[in-house]
Amino acid sequence: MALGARPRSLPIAPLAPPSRRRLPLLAEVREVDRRVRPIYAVWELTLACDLACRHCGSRAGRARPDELSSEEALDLVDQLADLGVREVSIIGGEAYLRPDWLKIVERIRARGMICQMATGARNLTRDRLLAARDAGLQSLSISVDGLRETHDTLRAVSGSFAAVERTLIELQTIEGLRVTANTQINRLNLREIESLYAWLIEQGIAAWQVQLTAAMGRAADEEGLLLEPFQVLETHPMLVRAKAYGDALGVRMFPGNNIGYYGPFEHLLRGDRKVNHRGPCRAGQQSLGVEANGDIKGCPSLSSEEFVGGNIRDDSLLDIWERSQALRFTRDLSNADLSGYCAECYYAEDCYGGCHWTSSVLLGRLGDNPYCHHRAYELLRQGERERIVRERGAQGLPFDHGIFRIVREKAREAWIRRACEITESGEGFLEEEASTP
Amino acid sequence: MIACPACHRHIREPQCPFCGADAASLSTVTSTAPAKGSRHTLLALGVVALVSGCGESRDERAAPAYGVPCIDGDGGVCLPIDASVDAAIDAAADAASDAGNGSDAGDAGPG
Repeated sequence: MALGARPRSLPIAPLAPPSRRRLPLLAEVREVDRRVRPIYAVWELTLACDLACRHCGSRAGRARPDELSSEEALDLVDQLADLGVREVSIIGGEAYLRPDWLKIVERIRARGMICQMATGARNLTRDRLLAARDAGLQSLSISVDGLRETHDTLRAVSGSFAAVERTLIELQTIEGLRVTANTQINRLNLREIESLYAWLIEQGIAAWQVQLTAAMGRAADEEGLLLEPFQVLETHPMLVRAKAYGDALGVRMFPGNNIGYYGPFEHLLRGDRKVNHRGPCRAGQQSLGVEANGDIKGCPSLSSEEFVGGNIRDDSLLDIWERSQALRFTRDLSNADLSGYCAECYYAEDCYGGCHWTSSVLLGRLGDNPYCHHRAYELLRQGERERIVRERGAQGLPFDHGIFRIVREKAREAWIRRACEITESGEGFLEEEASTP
Repeated sequence: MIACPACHRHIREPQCPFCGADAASLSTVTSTAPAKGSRHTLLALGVVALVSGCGESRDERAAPAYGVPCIDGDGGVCLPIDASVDAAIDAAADAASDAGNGSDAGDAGPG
């Protein structure tokens, strides 16, 4: 299914509903809840955004009606530090659209935490960059999702790629800010990812993080944008090629949390780590997410409806971290939480279904993740493959999702042959016609 | 888990359940950085044999859950995974298992 043309007008950004306040916390604090502490916090400073990305999980555009005041935000910084967070990534929307964002950066740094920012960079002027550096921002990651035409289509704003270009050129003349990039992989950009990486390296990035577009928010509305699960058979070899290219030039590629798991390329994708495979999701164990209204989740990408555990206007961050059931879910996962293929998988206890964000927004449940290279590969060996069919659309609210169904089917001989060739050689892509049943 | 020296799937047993190789009798994985076009995966008769190298081993580093990659460098902004965290999780999982408790995920997760 092809993605439609870039809309002539921007998607209407919904007004986020106010936070669901006074969520109940559990009375008991267990040993594990005291011992696990977040290393990373990812903080949506505002939902206001100057882009209208067609794959935006939070449907950003308009600020939330109940975003934290400056005083509340600075207090939250202190609570993050007190909880042991060592690194804060500020995101949006677009973080720089919040008037007091530099004060928040300054406080993060004053409390001894690392501060980084992810940005679409549409209006990241030289003055803003210099002010951010002077406030203590250490690193920023530019979100780039394709070469010029593709990026502008995905970002739904003409000139978005030109803005990225300008920012990257500007950054080459600014000392003291590490420049990195991040990219979502989907059906529209899959075949230009390698070219994009080469271009980013030419622009001087130091590192690159990639992840698959998940079926959340506006991406759930764009069925033609989402990769079919069987396409990990072409995605993973492509990423290995890209990684080798970057490694040779001293640029590191970081596969995101929804790229895995345990397939024959895993040791190459994560070969620069001591443990050369991905472990289970650590949402609510090593990471937490903050929404602009003070809602707390175990991971910033998880849907608000199911995974917000509390709000810092009601309870302390420590109490939410230790006593919220929604933040505890990965601390308590067991095989009983797995279903479908994942329940019978050899790696079940090492993986627990991989990225819970990816599976939960796709299927409405945890523990069955079809975007898995091991799974696609083993199905290929049986002459089968999986694709997804949308059964229910999303509501149209930030961080919402629809419901998809996994269809497992016998693959055609020509398709099997091509998929095997790619796996054997590490080269090439599935033919377009071979991508259809 | 270790990567099977023959097919490079991660395994727990001496004999690889994916390719049948006797991992204990095979030499360990070479540390040659992968070069473009050097990977060969054989998918014949359901038997996989991946012949490839892995990158030079470095200290464990964690990438943020979202957005910004961590970077090595002066005053590096990468953070090591805290081993005690994993130990705490494992201990909790064991405790839950011993007590016959299920997971909270069904309540916390999407319906």
